[in-house]
Amino acid sequence: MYSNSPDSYHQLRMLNSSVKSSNFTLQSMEFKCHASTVSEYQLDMLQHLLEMESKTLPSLVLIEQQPEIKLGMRPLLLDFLMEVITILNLSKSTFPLTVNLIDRYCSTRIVKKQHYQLLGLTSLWISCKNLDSKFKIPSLNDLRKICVDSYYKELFIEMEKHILKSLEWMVSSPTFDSFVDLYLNILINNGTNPTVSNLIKKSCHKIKTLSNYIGELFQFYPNIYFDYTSSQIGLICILVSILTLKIPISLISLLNFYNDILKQDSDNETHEPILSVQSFQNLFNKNFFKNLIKILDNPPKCLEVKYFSEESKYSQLMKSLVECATDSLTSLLDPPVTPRMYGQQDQCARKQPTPSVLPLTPVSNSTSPKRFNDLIFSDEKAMVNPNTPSSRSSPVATMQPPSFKKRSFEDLNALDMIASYELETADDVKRSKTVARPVFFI
Amino acid sequence: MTGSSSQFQQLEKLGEGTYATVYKGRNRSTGALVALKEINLDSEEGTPSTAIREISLMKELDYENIVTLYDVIHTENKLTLVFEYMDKDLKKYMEVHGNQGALDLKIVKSFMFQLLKGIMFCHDNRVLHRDLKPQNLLINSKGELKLGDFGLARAFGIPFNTFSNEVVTLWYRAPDVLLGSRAYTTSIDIWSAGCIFAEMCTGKPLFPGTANDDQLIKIFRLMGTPNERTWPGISQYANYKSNWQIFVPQDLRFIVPNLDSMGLNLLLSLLQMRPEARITARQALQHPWFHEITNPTPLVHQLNDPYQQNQSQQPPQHSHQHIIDQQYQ
Repeated sequence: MYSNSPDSYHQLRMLNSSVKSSNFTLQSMEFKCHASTVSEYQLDMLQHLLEMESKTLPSLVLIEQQPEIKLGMRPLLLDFLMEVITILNLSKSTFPLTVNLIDRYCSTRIVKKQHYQLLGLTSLWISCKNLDSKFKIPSLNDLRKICVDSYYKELFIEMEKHILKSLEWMVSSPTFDSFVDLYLNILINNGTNPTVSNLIKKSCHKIKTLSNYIGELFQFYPNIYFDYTSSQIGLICILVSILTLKIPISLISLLNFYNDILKQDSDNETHEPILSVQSFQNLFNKNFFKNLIKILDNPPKCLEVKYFSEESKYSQLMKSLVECATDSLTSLLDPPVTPRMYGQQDQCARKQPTPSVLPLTPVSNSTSPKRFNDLIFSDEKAMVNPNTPSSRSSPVATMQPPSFKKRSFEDLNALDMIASYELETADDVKRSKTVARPVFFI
Repeated sequence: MTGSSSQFQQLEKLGEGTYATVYKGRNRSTGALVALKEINLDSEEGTPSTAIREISLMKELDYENIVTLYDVIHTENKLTLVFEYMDKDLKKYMEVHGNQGALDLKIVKSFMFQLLKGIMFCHDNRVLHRDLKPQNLLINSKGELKLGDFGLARAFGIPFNTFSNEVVTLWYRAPDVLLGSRAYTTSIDIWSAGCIFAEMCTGKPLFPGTANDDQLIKIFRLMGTPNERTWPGISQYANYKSNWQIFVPQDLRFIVPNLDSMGLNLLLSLLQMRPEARITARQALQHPWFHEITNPTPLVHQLNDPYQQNQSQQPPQHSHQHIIDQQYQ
């Protein structure tokens, strides 16, 4: 890639940087240095991020007007994209930014059913170009392979152009995780209450990991995601994490701290609070925790792979965190609810019967005529014996879904459902046959 | 965002970068001058990530000291960015107006102030420019300086992922980056600003290194070779060598003789070796050297560009001392 670089020291520097990235003390030193430097800018940054956020909001009303795209397809698409992001090892902001791009595009243009996955992958491509190092950006060939030749290369280029134009090139909207980082940093550098700062500092890493997980989960649930902005989701994640980790900090005072923080130096007195106490109280009720326990315990497949599989670096931490979360959240409910046991396999099967025809891999005459026959053929094979390993081939060639214990609901009806985006729509969603059965309703 | 390329008449070429060519252009309907940055689209890569970052960041950064992006024209195989037209970049400005490249101190002060304001605005909006150099600072006829070329810029988080250390043209690259740091922060733009400051005063680049090591040695020769005592933790850096030639710090007065002591103090704060010791843009703007700009007296009301007014009487002097520059282009 750099053969024509005028700088012959490039290779040397690349080598050096890799040496450095393995040196932990040096890294932590530099992070410390960075933290102290940026602390001077953090309030301005928060203000700017909030302003940017208000300019880059998707609209649920408009998305619901899509003639072909149903909200129930969204989690399936996101599940697939998250899987791709995990495999490509992209930055943690890439996923929420991708989701933002998809939703905003769906708020401006009508998307055909067969192009929904194309939209998803292209959004992923754009946010990856925006956030990740150039070595990690997938090539067009990679993209084509990821969606098992559903779309021509040219379609990605065309879609990219459409997205950039429709969103007027505003493709760096702030994500919830940048808010989480900023909030925590502001709190740690805040000198007025050293006990709180120290408490947060001590469990900063845990709060971040848990917040990240919760925030990523929220992306899947339209009824939470569209009711709150990223800045609010970030704050909710932190509050929930503090609650579950049983850190003795008053949530209301923390909330007030964040709501007041911009008042100090902003010139207009009527500054909107990030998350008003009113809406906080509306949200943090019994129902919410009940649902939260359910969500935390039954993550979409991609998050399960990312956080709970044996190879994952988060595995241990996350398992304990989620256990702790369900415990402490359960204890918040009155009367205490015993966590549900895992359902029997047959019960699960009864609840969610395997569709007789597996969903087609996205393909349409307009997108890739050449492959059409092949896919019909492979689908027939799949119909004959839907459980053969061949029909379970993953959309991403390199990816082997790790085996983990499948959790499922035993008693869905007993729990209130805020909304049910059930898998009935699964047939509509043109995606790979690996669609397992993550439950996307809470 | 609905322009077409036929809307603009393409005039002469202004410059060529690694991934784009810049032309002067004229809006056919209004007659206004613009700068057209043309990026060829690769059929494999789609829209280059540099373009995506540059455009999305430029749309965020609406400020008097940052070049305005008017429009983006996306065609089959070309992406054209329509920017506000600026007369020259700082490098050319110094060649044309400077005394062998060196500018009048009043101009230097005005430019430095505007440069730091632009940097502060970027940092406030969590953007690192990462490629500050005279060629990327644009000057218009009103003597306004604006930051341009955000092709290498990117948004940073707290804390951020490590970045590539393939940033900033060698001469303006901070020592911590040269030493292999990848978690560099806002301080890398500040070092570049320091280098540009000295260059505006003397007309010559401060550290015209030819390669990574040479660049470090050039910096050490002036600022002194760092060691664990002057820079705790330096031996942790990947490019650290224990056998560097030992230099003692030079007095900047002899390097930049025409600068007053207050200005030297600012220069020294900008050119701190340790990133954490480097002044921030916000602090630098409060520096007493800028007192006459921040607290203007009626006498120095306008910091206009005297060169522009005197131009008719005094033909501009052309500098011939840019052999090294040419080598690098």
